[in-house]
Amino acid sequence: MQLFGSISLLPNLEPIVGASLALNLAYLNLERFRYRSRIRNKAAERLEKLKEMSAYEQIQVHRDVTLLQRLAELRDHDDMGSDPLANDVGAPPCEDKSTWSERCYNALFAKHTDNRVCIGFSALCAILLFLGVQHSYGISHYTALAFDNPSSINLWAWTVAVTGLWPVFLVGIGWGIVRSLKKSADEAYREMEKLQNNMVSQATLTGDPETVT
Amino acid sequence: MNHDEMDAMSMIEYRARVERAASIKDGEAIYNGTTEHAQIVIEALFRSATSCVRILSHALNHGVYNHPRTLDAAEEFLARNPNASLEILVERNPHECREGSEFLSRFGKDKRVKQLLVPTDVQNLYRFHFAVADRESYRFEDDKTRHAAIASFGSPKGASNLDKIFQSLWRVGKPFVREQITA
Repeated sequence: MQLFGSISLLPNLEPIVGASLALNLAYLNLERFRYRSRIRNKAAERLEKLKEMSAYEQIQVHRDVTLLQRLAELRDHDDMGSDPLANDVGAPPCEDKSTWSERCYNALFAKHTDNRVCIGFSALCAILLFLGVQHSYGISHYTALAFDNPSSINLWAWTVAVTGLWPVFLVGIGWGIVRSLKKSADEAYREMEKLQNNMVSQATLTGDPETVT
Repeated sequence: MNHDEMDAMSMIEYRARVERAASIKDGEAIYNGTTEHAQIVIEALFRSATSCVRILSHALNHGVYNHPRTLDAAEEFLARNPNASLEILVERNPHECREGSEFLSRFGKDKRVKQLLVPTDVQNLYRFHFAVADRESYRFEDDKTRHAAIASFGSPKGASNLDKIFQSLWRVGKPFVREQITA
């Protein structure tokens, strides 16, 4: 059903709305997209390797190590059955000199902003699909007002595009943070390598063995 | 994949990494935190050495030095060069604590293998243990009470320093009681 003699946008948007809904639900439910756990586990794994080194105690104040320590200590709210929106009390504080990965982590993952927005977008997509069906059968006149109005075409097209791109954006950012953690760990590793090599070339006896005996 | 299989896989990867470092000898630092790691590194030191291996140890750890692969690598090292030498400084007679007794039983009668005991007073002058090969590769335990160590193949600067320390300690070393060697 069309009002104002214009072309209805909603039926054309429905495939995109369906795809957006699928992407958002996939992000919410699939294990591989739980970037909070992935980031925490990756940080813990790399920290564990660094702890094996004898220079670890000397490098604990190194910026890359402290970042790994903070991220490795995050609480896990990602298990099935736990509250997916519970705040992360262990989230790293956003410091003035924090890296982009820390800032992104704090903004998107620490307090589950990613999931909250995904839930919102999923709800919006589901409502649009429902309204689309109503609109197709001419059940509701309100849908015609909202979707047949030429001035709202751009708004709805962009809204649906944003809902579909949001999970893709999160995947990109999550992947980027995991990569940057690897860089931080490698940097800390190189720093420790230098310390250890110095330790070997500067190793010395604390006295003359011949005078002791 | 269960936990044991994952451990086995990581050991295979670790061995491959150590062997690669030993063949390239670019000075890359390799860390090790377990007896298994230590065994792989010591074996690689023997395999990469051509003339001289020097070891400063508590009593030649059983899991490291009595391991069949270490024994084979040491044997190959001595067989490769008739002028090769293996010098061992220990803080405790391995025959008394039966730590590295198998290692010494196998090589102890070879005149190119020499072993001395570090006097107790001298043991207080350092807190590290190490093994150094050809003055260019080493495994270094910064704290002898821990397993954590660094190894490097092709690092003459660090290796020469350790070699110098070894020689200072060697001069004051005391002979073992050879009669206690068991087959």
